[in-house]
Amino acid sequence: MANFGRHSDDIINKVTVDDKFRSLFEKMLKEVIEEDRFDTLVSFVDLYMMGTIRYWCSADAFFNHPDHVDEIADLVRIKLMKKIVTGFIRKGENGVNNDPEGFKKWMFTVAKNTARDYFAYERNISKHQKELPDTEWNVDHDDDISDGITDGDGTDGDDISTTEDIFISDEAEEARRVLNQAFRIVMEGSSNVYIILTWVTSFLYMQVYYKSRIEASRYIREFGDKTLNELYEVVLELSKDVPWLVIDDDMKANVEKKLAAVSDIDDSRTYGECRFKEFYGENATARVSDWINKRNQRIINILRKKKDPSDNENGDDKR
Amino acid sequence: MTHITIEEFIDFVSIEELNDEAKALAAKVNGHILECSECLEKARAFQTIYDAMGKIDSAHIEKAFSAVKKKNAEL
Repeated sequence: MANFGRHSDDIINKVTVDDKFRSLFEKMLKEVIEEDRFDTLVSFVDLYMMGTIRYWCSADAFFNHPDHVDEIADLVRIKLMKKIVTGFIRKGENGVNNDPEGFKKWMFTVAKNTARDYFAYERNISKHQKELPDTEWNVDHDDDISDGITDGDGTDGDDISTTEDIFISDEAEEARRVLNQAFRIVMEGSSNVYIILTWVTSFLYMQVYYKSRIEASRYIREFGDKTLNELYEVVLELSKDVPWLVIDDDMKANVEKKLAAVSDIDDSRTYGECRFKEFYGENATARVSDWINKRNQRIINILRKKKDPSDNENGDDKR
Repeated sequence: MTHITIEEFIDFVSIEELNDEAKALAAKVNGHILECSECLEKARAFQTIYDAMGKIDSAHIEKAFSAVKKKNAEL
């Protein structure tokens, strides 16, 4: 994988955990744990990671541009903020993880995985646009989707691993265990059945057909004139093509109970109606469709930017 | 103890901008899961699903293309 190899590790190794680093690390922990702040956490990107991100981007003429470096840096800042507790502070069995050396490894692993996903994502978009010249960039296809889902802690491979190839997980079983647990939480949860079915259908569609979120979103819309029960049948069918996924009787019972409640009100109500009517009252503050739409918006913004480069020339927001 | 709701988890793992709203939500969720192992596990689970949904692999898409057309036709 271009520029993620030994020389990349050499650059990372130049970042030493010295007194300044330790001081910032302690300040960061205090902010996150006691003050609900992330200022010092995100500052690690600017202080220690920009050179490495530039180096990763330099492997490919298409990505060797400050916009891409900035974009990846932004994504890393956000990811650090979202995963500092699950991926680092509470990573160990006991208490707070206060190992600055471990933090350095973790944050660079987060950055590396983020960059790798970004490159794959952008390459995919450019390929579908058929507007950009091909380059020598090769995305690592050795890790299939199920392997790529998680490493140890189930958080997108941001587990602290050894140096050679962090991305190819040897913990597929653990990843599947965590994913099954996630499915159980969703299917046995208290969310509306419309939300549950949207979620699991989208995910199963991507797992079975190796599709992206935006494609899954389009796929879901095809069920607009189908009932929720029919959508549920699709879920059960799709799940048969994901042999490691366990949907047991308790999970089914919860969903079927909710479906029965909907049917008691109106058994002809379609999935499409559920999307657009105030069927769930005021309590539904967010839906999976909102989530997917948020993701899609980023793709749309990128496509717009590439379709009309003058947006950038005019100094508009690059996103 | 008031636990994090599914909607909050979804918004949390979906954060894509470092604005004040996102920071406030991250502070709430991170602050809670520092103390609550049950919600910590849920946060990991939601992050797992969200991240998995973001995987785009053109090679797999190409390989699956014919199967997709067939199964879509069946639907």
